Order: sequence, then structure tokens, then C-alpha cells
Amino acid sequence: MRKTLLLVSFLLLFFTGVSAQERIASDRPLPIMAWAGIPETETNIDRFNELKEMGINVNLSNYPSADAMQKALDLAQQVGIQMIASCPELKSDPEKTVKRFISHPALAGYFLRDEPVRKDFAELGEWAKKIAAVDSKHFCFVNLISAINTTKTDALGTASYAEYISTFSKEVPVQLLSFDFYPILTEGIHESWYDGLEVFSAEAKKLDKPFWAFALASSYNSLHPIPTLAALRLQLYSDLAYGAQGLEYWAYWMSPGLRCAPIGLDGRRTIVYDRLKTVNNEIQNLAGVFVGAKVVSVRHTGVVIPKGTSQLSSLPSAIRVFETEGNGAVVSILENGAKTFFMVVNRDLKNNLTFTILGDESLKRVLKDGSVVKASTYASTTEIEPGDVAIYMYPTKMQK
Amino acid sequence: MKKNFILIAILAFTIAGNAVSQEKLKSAGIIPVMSWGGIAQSEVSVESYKKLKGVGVNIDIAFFSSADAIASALDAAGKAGVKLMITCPELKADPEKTAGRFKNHPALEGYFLSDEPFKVQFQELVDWQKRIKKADGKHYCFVNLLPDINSNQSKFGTKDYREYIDTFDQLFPAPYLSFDFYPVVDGGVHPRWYENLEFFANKYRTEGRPFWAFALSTSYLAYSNDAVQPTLNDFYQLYDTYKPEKTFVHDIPTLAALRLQIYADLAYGAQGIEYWSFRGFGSPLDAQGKRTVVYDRLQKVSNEIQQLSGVFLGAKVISVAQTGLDIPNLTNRLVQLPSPFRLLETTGEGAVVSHLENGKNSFLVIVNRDFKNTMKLIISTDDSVRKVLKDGTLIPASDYANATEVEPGDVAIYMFPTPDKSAK
Repeated sequence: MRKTLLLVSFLLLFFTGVSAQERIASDRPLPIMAWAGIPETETNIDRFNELKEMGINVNLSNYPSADAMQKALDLAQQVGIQMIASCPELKSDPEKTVKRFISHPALAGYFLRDEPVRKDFAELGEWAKKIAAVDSKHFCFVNLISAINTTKTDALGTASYAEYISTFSKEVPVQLLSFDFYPILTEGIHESWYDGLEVFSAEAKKLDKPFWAFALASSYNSLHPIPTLAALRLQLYSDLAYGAQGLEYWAYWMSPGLRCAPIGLDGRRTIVYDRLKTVNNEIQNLAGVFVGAKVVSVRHTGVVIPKGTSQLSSLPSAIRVFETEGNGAVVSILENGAKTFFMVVNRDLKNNLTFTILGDESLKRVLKDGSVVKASTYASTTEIEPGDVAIYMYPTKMQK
Repeated sequence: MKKNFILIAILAFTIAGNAVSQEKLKSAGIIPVMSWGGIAQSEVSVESYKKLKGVGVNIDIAFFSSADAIASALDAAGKAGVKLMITCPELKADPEKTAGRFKNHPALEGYFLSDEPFKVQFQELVDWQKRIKKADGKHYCFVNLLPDINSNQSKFGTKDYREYIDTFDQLFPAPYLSFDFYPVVDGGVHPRWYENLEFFANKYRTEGRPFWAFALSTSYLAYSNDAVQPTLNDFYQLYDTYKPEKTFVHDIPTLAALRLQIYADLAYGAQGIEYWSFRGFGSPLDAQGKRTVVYDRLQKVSNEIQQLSGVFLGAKVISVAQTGLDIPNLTNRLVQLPSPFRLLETTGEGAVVSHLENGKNSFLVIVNRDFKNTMKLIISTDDSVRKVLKDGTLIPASDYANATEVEPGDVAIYMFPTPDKSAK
């Protein structure tokens, strides 16, 4: 045994070489936000550390008072989390409340409302203007209703989902848009999800505003299963493929009626906490792909493509062959400065996607840890795990 | 839009700082991870070995046609941080001279002598290693032994498997034993796999003989004994000779299948992991030496285990038991838990539950035996128990809900203080 240990020590001394590799760099992380974050009764440094450790960098909790909000901001600052301020005083006396928090380093913005309809816009607009008059530096945050049906929108008070977004943007001066859609159902993927992403992404582009999108981090009824890694990946990578500039989770902290949020009713972590931590870590390794990227196109492959989407029919010149088998993929081209990314998301939650890609010498592959290798390092036919992503990179063609 | 970006940049700048510092499991060093024939002789280069290093391999077995080829390979491997287990015709023809030539090379791990020998070959191997040892007393000789499966019975040349292993062990001075078993087959787990692990874990526990074990890193068809055996060429062409009734299919390894093999090996006390093989259909590298999806899967699990080396490397196996309605052949049902654990229940197929002791720290390692479905795990502990996360972070077990899940083939690890035996 002693001999073995000696041998093992020899091995240890030897295995140290680490090769320097090209990596995809980002000067800033992607905002990842928790809804129903740490409740007011749990406002302490350990809880904020726990939130940060899961990969959350923006927190939204509704506080019962401005003093409670202040305490949370102070703790958030200590761990490096930003807060979206939410307390009754923000509504009853916006100017005074904004002045109180405007200089706090942990302040990200101000929460106004979740899922308003058309008739709420005017009041929200007034409120946002009052805040902006005091603080033009931080954003006002309103989350819009999901696009369950992009044409039947009577309940929203507009003629279409696109109109709902554009009217909101016109009447409520917010700097970023947000909408929630929880597409993973026990029996599959909601048929309107990609349609909603198409409309939202297109409207945001027209309005020249970034948008944030969701993944469901819990289950709120029997229609929605407890999130698996594959389900989380599919939601988040699809959001990002459509150009989302921030990600949101609902909900971080369990409340009655929910199942398996990352933190349970007893304040303890569930398996979903670990899964979220895994995907958040992955995504931040790839922040250089997504942060500040512009969507050039989003297309789909497969015999049957989702409602409201377009079939992939042409490839960028750096890619000569691209084919998928099985249920198909979301294929997004994102431009980010001198680099352009070809992003392939496996739409299937249960099965691997086999695909073939052949590119020219400029084509590189961005690995999950952010390292970059020549695409030709890999076999031309490979697989993507359920809900997961493969990302390729090539130089952006400069406009003449 | 410009305004928006400034805003987001401010937000991003502020959230970029302040990393959370957390207690981490101390590394016990690097777990040996050995590939069989990872780099072919025709592909020897620093870049090739870096590829191997990148997938988490730190030792490669080099089966080369000459001592000169070995010399080049050692130089290249050394530059990439990989060690080699070498073999070449000269090692057989003139062991003293060949070992003398390589014994001072820093990239030398040891000498490969044989794979799956029968008992009749043991003496010859012993004589061979003695000659090598005369020239090089510092490095060891490596032999991989047969697994105990039905088709091997006639090959042992002994009355049973125990005698096969014990005879080898008495004759051949290896620092550890090695055996290969590829348990994920025909969509399930071979019924005799855990029995083999029990055997080696027991030998480790009772006689202090460490062992290394395998994960299958490729896909292949195995043929039943009464089928016409394929030629090597056909073997790699796979479906040319495919006869469903005579063939066992080892499918392309999934992440879950790799985890199950590797974590079960480690839970049973394996002190090194071996991958077979790196070439052929469904391997980490394709015929052109390019990475496949298996490369990425292997890389992921190789990285994972190194973060957990403080659990496994140098650990003693106190006990291994199984949960589930049906437990594998010749294994033991879990009937007792270490005292810090009040309750452990699993649903579904069940788990391997291993109690390892590693100095002042003890570990309960729980491996989901199902490589297709998530396992529910209910666990209740006292305050001394901490959960070891996949990146080696330690947190109080009570930070997690009692009911949790373990992904297919994956592991949950809990750490608690080793009881002070001298206090009794």
C-alpha cells in the first residue's frame, strides 16, 4: 500500500501541465434575475450568498417598506447582487423613494408591475415618468403577459400581441422589455412558445430595446413538470437564440401552491437549485456570445417546425453543410462585434439531436466552458444533448 | 438603444464583482485516468497528447512498434502533461536494455505487459517483469486481468475467479490490480457487474490491494461464444457482421452511462479509472482523430471526478450496500447507516451506497443505479453532515431539503467526521 501511495504521489507531481486556450470573453456578465427572491423575513447575508452562488445577479423581492428595501440593498451590495426595488413607497411617493435609493450601488432599477393589460398602460406611463424625472440612470421594470395566442388578444386590450408590445413601449417609457412564457408542459412544449419569441424578438428589434425572457424554475400546477436540466436549457438557450439580453426565473422561493422551487417552504435547497446553478454557470461561461449580440436571423430545422417560425433555407458563407436529424433545432445567427455566432439549440427535451456541420477554415466551435477550438477539431457529425446547444463562431463580414 | 446599453453596462459592471467564497473539499491529488491506445503511433505529437489531456486522461497506454517510436511518444506526451504506459517489441525481446533506455524519462508511468492473460501465462509475465525490474526499480509493470463473466470461465485456468485473481496477485508484484468489465449492454446493466466490483472492493478492504476499473468509452458489438467471431476489421465495421441473436450491443456511451460506470467504480473504492477505447465507432475520437460527442461527455465526467478526488483518492472502503426492491446479484442490502445519518430512502431502481473513509473525513457516496431515470433520494442527517457538491464545495446537508433527486447514473456525496477510534 505504501508503495502505491508513493507511486500516486509521483503521478500527482507530474500531472500539472495546463494548456492555454482561446476563450470567448465578455467584459460583463449576462443579467440573470430571480423573481420571488429572498423574502423579507430571510434578509440576511447567508441568504444573499446562497442566491449569488446559484448564479443570480439581479434579485426581485417585494418588500413591505422602504426600510426593508434599504436593508436588502445593503446586503445585496456586499455579495455583488443588484436589486430591482419594490416597496409600497415607490408607488405612494415615487420621487422621495427614488431619491432615497438612486445612489445605492446595488440598485438595478424599479419594479412597477407584472403582466399589465392595455388599460393599465397610461397609469404605468405616468408612474415611470415620475421616476425617470428623478432618476434617468436606472430602469423601470414591467413584465408583459406571455403570448399564448399572438392574434387572439382581446383580453390584453389590443388587436394583436405585436400591438400590445408596441403600445406598451410607446406609453410606458421603459428601457428594456420583459415577457414571461412557461412553455414546458407535462405533455411537451407549448405550441405557441416559439411564435411568442418570434413576435417579441421582432418587436424589440423594431423598438430598438433589449428584452429579457423567462425560464420556469418551479412548477405551479400539474400541467408544468418539475424543471429538469434539459427543460431549463431549452428555455434559456432558446431565449438567448432569439436575442434575450437577460434571463429571469420564476420563482426562486417557494410559496404555497408551487412545487419544487429552488428554495423550499422550509428554506432548504431543492434539486432545482442545483440544476439552476449548473445552467447559470454554463451561460455565464458563454456571456461573450450573448451579451450585446444582435440577432441576424432565427430559423428552425425539422420536418415539422413550430407555428409562426421560418424554415432554415440558407447558411452563412463560413458554413458549407448543415443538416439535423430528428425533431430539429433552433438555428440562430447572432452578431457580436467582430464575431458572429451560429447557434444550434436541440428542440427535443428527451432525445439527442444528431447534426452534421462542415465549415471553412474560419469556423470555430465555442465549447461549454467558453473555450474556442477550430470546428474541424470535431467530427463533422456530432450530437447535442436534449434541450442543449452547440455554438460555432466565425468572423463578422464587415460591411463595405 | 445607446442609452439602453449604457444602462445595462452599469448594471453589469456592478454585478460582475464579489465572488462568493466557499469552503471546498481539499484535493487529494489527481485521480489516475488511463486511456487504452488513446494516441496511435502514426499520430504522435504534442497536440495529439494535449487532446488526450483535454479529455481528462493523464496516462495513455502506448502500444507501439518500436522503442524509437516509444521514445518520440514519451517526449511528446511529457510536453502535454500525459504519462505513458509503454510497450513495444523490444520490451519483450530485451527488457533490461529497453527499460534501461526509458527508466529516467519523466513521462514514463510504467510498462504494459499483458491484457487479460490466462493463468498459464502468469509465470511468463512474472519472469518478464523481474527482468524489467532489474533495470528499473522505480516504475511498475501493468497487467489487466479478465473480468468474471460466464464466457471467461474456460479462460481462467483455475478452479474459479478468486483463484485466478489470487494466484496472479501472489505471483505478480503490481501496485494495484486492474480488471475490465463493460457493464452497459443491450440497453441495461450486466447482471454480474456489481458482483465483480464487490469482489475487488472486498480484496481492497480486507487485504489492502487497491484496484483500477474501467468505463467503456466506445461502442462495440460483443459476440457470444458460439457465434463466429469477426475479424478485427469486421469488428470495427460493426454492422457488417451484426447478428442480433448472437450479439451484445454496447451502445455509444451517454453521459449517464459514463457516470454510472465511473461513480460505481469509485464508490467501490477504485483508485484509478481506465477508458477503453479511443478509436472506432462511438469513440471519443473518430478515424481522423477528430473529437466526437463522446469526447465532450468524457471530458465532463473526467473533470467532475477530479474535483472530487478528496473523496475517492486514498479512501478506504468501510462498506458498500444497495437499495431498491431488487438488488444486484451477490451484493448486500443497505441495513445500517453511519451514525450521523438518520434516514436514507430511494425510489425506483435503487442506489449503490458506499461508506468511504479518507483520513479525518468520511463519506457516504450514493450512486443512482438507473442510467435512464432520475432517482428520488430522501436523506436526513445530523448537523455534522455536509453535502459535497459536484465542484467540491462543501455545504451543510441541512441546507438542502430532505427529499432531493439524483440524475441518471449520477452521484450524491455527503461528508461527515470520521469517528475517533482511539476515544473508545
